[in-house]
Amino acid sequence: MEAILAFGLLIGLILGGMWVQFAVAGAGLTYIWLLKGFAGWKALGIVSWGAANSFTLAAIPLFVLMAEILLGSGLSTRLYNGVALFMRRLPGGLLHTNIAGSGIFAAISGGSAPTAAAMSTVALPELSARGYNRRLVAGSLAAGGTLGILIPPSITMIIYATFTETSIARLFAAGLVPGIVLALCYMGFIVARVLWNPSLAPKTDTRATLPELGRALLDIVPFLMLIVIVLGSIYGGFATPTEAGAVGTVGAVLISGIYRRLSWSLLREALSRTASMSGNILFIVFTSMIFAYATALSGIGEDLVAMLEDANVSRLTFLLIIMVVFAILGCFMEGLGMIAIIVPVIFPALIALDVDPIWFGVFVVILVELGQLTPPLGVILFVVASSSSEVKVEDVIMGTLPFFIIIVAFMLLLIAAPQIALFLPEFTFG
Amino acid sequence: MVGDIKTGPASAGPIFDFGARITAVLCGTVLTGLVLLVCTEAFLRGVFNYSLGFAEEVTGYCVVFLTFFGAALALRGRAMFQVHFLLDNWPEGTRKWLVRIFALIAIAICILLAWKTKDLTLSSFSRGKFAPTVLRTPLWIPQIVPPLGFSVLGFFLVEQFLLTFSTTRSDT
Repeated sequence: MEAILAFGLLIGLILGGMWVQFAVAGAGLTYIWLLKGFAGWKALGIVSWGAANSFTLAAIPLFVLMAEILLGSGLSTRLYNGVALFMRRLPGGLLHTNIAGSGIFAAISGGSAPTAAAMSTVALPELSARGYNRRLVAGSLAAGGTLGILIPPSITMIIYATFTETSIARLFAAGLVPGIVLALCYMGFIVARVLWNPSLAPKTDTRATLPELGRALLDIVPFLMLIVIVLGSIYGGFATPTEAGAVGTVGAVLISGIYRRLSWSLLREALSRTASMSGNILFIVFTSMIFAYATALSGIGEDLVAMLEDANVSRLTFLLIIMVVFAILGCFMEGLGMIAIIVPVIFPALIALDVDPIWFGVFVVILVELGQLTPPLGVILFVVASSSSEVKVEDVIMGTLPFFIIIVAFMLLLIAAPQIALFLPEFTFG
Repeated sequence: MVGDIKTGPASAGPIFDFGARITAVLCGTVLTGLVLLVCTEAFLRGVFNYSLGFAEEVTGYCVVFLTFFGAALALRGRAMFQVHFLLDNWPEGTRKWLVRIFALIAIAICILLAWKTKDLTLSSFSRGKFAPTVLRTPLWIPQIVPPLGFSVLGFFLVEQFLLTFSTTRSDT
């Protein structure tokens, strides 16, 4: 009963328009009060301190800062133009650049919004002017943007790891192959769609000369080096994700400096935006820890396990239920909040059903990807739409629809073949 | 006059602008310090196999600071996560009252959490607790950040409350 009241209050406050962090804190505090009365609040001081004081979470501001510096320096234009030369002769031409460019930017940014913003601001006006189908362009950019949270480093994975005490390095390894496979699925769809209807994308027959390809490679190499430094140091065991984030930030400053884009105003703006974005994310983690404390007090996780055992629910049925729950919640709840609220509740059930927590981390991140493409709250839809005055949100939604179906199909594939996610962490870390 | 055009977040007065500026400068400083500290630790450990010994501890304190003061900046910059689609469809009067109620609830939450975290700080102070690390930091020093942070959040929530009394829709 207390759980129903607390979750009802939470959903009511969020839907009503309260700041999500305060809605979570308010519902959490009410939940504790319902369970233990005012005496339950006695431990709030120590719970708050434990929730906020974390070395692991320091990776979040560091990865955000790295992406903000690269985004602010405008180097995404170079990355885009560099990748474009290698992609333009494929059926679908520069549409593949949206996906490949997003994939590369995702590997140096911790989130989807920076990835979508980096590619959309460059690609959307350019491709619309060249006669590419507007909806397909917008859809490919939105879908490419969601790779930001799947391809490591990923802020969403760091938060999942914080609540489940799983290894961030393993999660980062687990997200890489699914991210690449998903990107290839997107590209395969573009090829098929353009072969079916060639008017969707103009054809380019001109071959790039060797010097042109060399110059294009020079535009991509600094980004590839940054990826090798950041991910290589984590996978190689040389650095923790937090340290890799700091090294990556310094790398981003150096790259901006090499390309003569570095300025005080760029750094000031990047620091300011990072402080705000990180505070936003860290504070939702903090308030969700209060809610998680309440759910731990209530024993709702264990009740859920008992209920599933009584109902004889299979692993597959449970995962399908989770997919539906996340799809519904994703319509009105921010992805990080969903993970922070739902995962602590369902985690005991996952263990009872023998679901690998690393695999589930990848699964849940893809579910959050879907939420980012679902109206009315799909953040990526708005990021892409805001990149050009010629593209409406409706265009982005319609363009995203086939990619949405691809993601759902990929999730079913991931359930059938968990090794897609688990192969690399097992190979790398044993 | 062009110079009179105001950009940035809506403000309920110069005192809130001043508070936001101070918060932004502090956050920027902590963030820069965090990058330098973690990078130095990674470099020393990777190249000289030497650890500062206190990087992990101080990094945690930086995260505590950024959690509350960064959230305060997000609140003021209208960047804090919020679902607008129902709120924006209410008539303006109803919407303003809802925002006022939400701001008052949020202020009450901040007061409660500031009070509880203040108790922890005073307890650590009176018992002479310190971190079991190289620095042996008296714990009340970093633990003072959450109550201060909740106070700053409450300060900007008061601004959000006051802004609902201004006349133009864009300000609310």
